[in-house]
Formats: sequence, structure tokens, C-alpha cells
Amino acid sequence: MTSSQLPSLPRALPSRSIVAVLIVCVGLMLTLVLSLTQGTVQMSYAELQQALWHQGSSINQTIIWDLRLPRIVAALMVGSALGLSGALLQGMLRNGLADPFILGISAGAGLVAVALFTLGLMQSWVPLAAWVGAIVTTSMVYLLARSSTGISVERLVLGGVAISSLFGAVQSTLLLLSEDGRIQAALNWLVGSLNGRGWNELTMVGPYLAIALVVGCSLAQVMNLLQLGDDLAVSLGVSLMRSRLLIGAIAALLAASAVSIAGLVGFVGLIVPHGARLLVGTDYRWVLPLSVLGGAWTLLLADWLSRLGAIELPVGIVTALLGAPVFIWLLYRRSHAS
Amino acid sequence: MNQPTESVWALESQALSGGYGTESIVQDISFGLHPGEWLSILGANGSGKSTLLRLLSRILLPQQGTVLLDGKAIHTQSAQAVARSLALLPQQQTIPPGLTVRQLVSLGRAPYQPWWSWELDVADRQQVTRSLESAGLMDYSDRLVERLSGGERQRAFLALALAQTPQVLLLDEPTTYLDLRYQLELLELLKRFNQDQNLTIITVLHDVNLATRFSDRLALLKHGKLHHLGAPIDVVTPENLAEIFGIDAAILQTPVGLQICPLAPFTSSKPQVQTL
Repeated sequence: MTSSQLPSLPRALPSRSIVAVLIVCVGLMLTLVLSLTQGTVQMSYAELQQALWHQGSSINQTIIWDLRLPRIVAALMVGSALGLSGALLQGMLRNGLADPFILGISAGAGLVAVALFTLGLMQSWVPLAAWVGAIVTTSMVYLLARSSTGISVERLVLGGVAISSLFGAVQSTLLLLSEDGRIQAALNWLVGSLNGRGWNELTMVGPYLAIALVVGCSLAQVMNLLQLGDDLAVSLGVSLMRSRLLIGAIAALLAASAVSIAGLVGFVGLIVPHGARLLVGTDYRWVLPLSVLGGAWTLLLADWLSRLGAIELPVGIVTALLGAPVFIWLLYRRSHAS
Repeated sequence: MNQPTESVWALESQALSGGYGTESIVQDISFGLHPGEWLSILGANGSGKSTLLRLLSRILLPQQGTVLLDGKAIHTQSAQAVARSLALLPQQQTIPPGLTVRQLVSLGRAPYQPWWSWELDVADRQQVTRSLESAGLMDYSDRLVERLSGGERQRAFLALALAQTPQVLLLDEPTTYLDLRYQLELLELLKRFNQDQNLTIITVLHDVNLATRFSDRLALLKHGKLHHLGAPIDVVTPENLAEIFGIDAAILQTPVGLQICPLAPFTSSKPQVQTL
């Protein structure tokens, strides 16, 4: 068969990508309904509808509007931020082990946020301050990992782990020293929790997060070019310095937004981009939006699971319980592929 | 039309020095290339061939000197502006898994898009198709790049570079991993572009015979300095080969041009063989 007889199919793959996005969207909607109706107080679908329209029992209205909805929105925001942050970092470093948690970015944001919370200073500036903390930590880890020949991912991870544990210790100390030793609050923060999040925190972080999500997703083409290696990316017109700064800053802003809402939630930023790439390949025009959706879904699911048991678990424990085995499987697969 | 200020060179290197850190790997390299000329850079391992190519393609910042592309210094222009007229085929390629040939070649239109762009327009997609056609890859356009053979893969990356519609194309050892047939096929393809579209080409080649056969001029590098520059017939001499590669060679006249027949490395530079 010659080339003229072949039907030109410029887009054979995207159909699969569209299906993947649709599946994740449907899953997200289902989990959303489950999450709204189930909890300590069970609601029927009709009751949920009434409460959403500010009708019916006032207790139900309060539960939906003041307890469940802010918490669910918080889960969606934190999940999408972590998913996209991980996808951007993994794509930029061309390494699947990168995520804001492992690289110490979350710890940097967390330290600043905790310092402001416990000292009771400038609460409304927490997202911005956390971002500055994240940027400073990113630069520190980057400088630690830099050598004359480029960035070594091994050094990057080692530097990130070292800074994470150092900052984690300082955070714990700060939290334990504050007021009457709020061990419970400290624990919740360090493992990541969505318990008791209100509209205040969300409206504070929302604008920063929205900007970061939009700019982050618009970097898809640059990410695609970076996948070809530094030399080819430059010869295709990418300014390495500028694109790395932009991607790093956006990933840090996303991680900082997540941290200012929920503390240190691990594994979402690491696992979700892997799932997205398994579903749609390496075209970042699909990987990035799917990481946003997938991250939101994962955290919503984890939050719903955390509320199912007799005792409510912090959401970070659930993501770790779910994520750690997946991570170990990824490491296993990696070592056997090479 | 022909203003006296206009550059006659498609690419010009002026007293170019550069390397990594403070170390200079290539020093004081000057030459100019006419539009449609094919230059091959030859030299022993570690003589600075790849470093020179990285300097010429704006990947490495020069320590001294400049590179002029159509009369304008490349290091003061944006990477994107340079990418519209200069393309590079690196020696080793990173291949993202799950990428089809057409997706790969589409990235060649990136220099013409704003950074936030999402989809190519019709004209850009047509250029991608033309590049695929000219590299003979139309039947492969929906195949995964990682599944291609070495020769096909090299053609796919060549199509990517051609999609940039460059005036100057730099290739770093494009034939190294290819068998004899694919080596010739790739170089013949380049020759066609060189002649039909007046594409200026610089190749780093290890194979002196192929370089001699396909290039208009040869540049011989030794220890980072330009030792000889000229037409193959003038440059490929037993004395020069001895100086650059440290070999004793016979040069034969054949129907396809000069053929170098290496006889033996010089005994002075021969490694000592330990015998029991």
C-alpha cells in the first residue's frame, strides 16, 4: 500500500486520551456525590439536592454548606495542585521520582506556614509566604544538586530528603511549643489533614491556585519539547533557563497552595502523574490536565475513605497507605525495566 | 538587492572559543559558509568537534568570539528566533515513550508558535506532512518512534529538523549508529536538500571517506584549533591525515572520489603491548 492510499490519521491517539479524561471526570462526579451524601450523617440524594438549594432541614443545610462542601472543595484544590505540581516537576527533570514532597518543596512551604500560624502573624499572607518558602527551598535543593555537568537527580532527591527532615523537625518543634502544646494539631499538619477546613482558607488560596493551574497547563508544549533532551529543546527554541524558572516557580506555587490548606500530604504528586502517563502517553497537552483531574479525584477519594471508619483518619495517612505500595511497585518496575 | 552590508555568509564563526566552565575546548575558530555549502568537521576523538557544533547551535555560550547567522549574532537573539533558521540533529536522542513519528515531527513547528500554544494550524500541519514525505516517512507517521529501527529513527529526527524549515542544518555524527546502507541513504537525502533547497549543512563525521565524498569543504580540528580548511582534494593529504589522526594512510583515486586507506597507526603513538 502506498502512502496516498492510506487514510491520513493525524490524530489516532487523542481519542484514547479523550476516553481517559471522560472516565476520570465520571469517576470524579460519582465520588463527589458519594462524598456529599455519606459521612456521620447519611443523606439521601433527594435530601442532598434540597440542602444544596438551601431547602429542607436546616441541620442538613449546615452539614452540606459549612462542613462537607468546604472540605470537598479543599480536597479538590489540594489534589489538583499536587497532581499538576508533580507532573511539572517530573516532566522538567525527566525523572519519575520527582514530586514536591520528595524534593523538599512542601517542607519549605510548610515551615513558613507553620511559623505564621503559631506566631499568629499575617494569616492572610500565608499562601504567598508559603510560596516564598517553597521557592527558597527549591533553590536550595537545586543548588545542592547542581554540578559542573548539570543536575544530578540523585543529589536532588538526597538534598530534598535532608531538607524535608530538617524542616519537618523545626515544624514539629514550633507546633509543640505553641500555646498548650497542640500535639494533635501538629500531627494533623505533618501528615496532612482536611479536617475542619472552612471557606476562609479556601478563598484565601483560591486565586493563587487558579492562576497557577492555568499557567501550569499552558506550559504543555514547552514540557513536550523538554522531553527531547536539553540540546534538542534549545535548538527547537526553548530557553532552558527561562522555562526552568517558570516551571519551577509554578510547581512551587502549586505545592505551597496545597500545603497552606492541608499541610504535608504525600504521594499524590508522585503517583498521579505516573497514572496519567500510563493512560495517555507522554503528550503533556493531555498529561497535565489529566494530572489536575486525577489529583483532584485521588484526594477526594482518599478523603471519603478517611471518613468511613469509626475514627476519622487524617487524609495524608490514607494517601500514604494507598500511595506507598504503588510507589514500591513503580520502583520495582523501574529496576526491572533497566 | 545586493547591498554591500549584507552578509555573504549563511553562517559565520568569528574567532570563536568556548568550552565548559573556565576550560576552553575549542579556540579561535574562524570560517564562513556560503548558502548551500556543505562543510564536514573532522578530527580525532576529543578534538572539540561536538563542542564546536554546540557553540554554533547556540546551546553553549562562547567564551570569546561570535557566531553570525545570516549576518546576525546568534547569542543575542532569542532561542526561538534562531530555531527558525538553524536546526540541530544531536548525536544521541532522548526518545519519550509513546510518541508517534507525526507527533515528534510536529514539534519541529514549535519555533513558529507562542509558548502557550496548544494545537498547530493547517499551514503548520501541512509543513509537517511535507517534512514527513521528504524523509520518506509517510507510512510511518502513526508508528511509535521507540519502535523504529536505527535508520528510520534517524530519518524521523531529520524530519523533525526539516520541519523547522531551517536555512542551516547542523548534524552531530548522524551516521554513527547506522549500517552502510542507511549511512548512504541518509547522506543522499541530505545532499538532495542541500542541492534542491540550498540548505547549508555542517556535519561532524568520523568517516573520512563519506565526508570527502559528500562535503564541499572539510575542516580539520586538532586540540580544539582549526588546522586546515578547504576542498577535500586539497585537505585530504597523507601529511594532514598523519597530523590529525596519527595514522599512515594511502589515498586512492576512485570513481566515487578520494578514498582513504588507513595502513597503520604511527608506532610512536602506539600503545605499549605487554607480553608475558
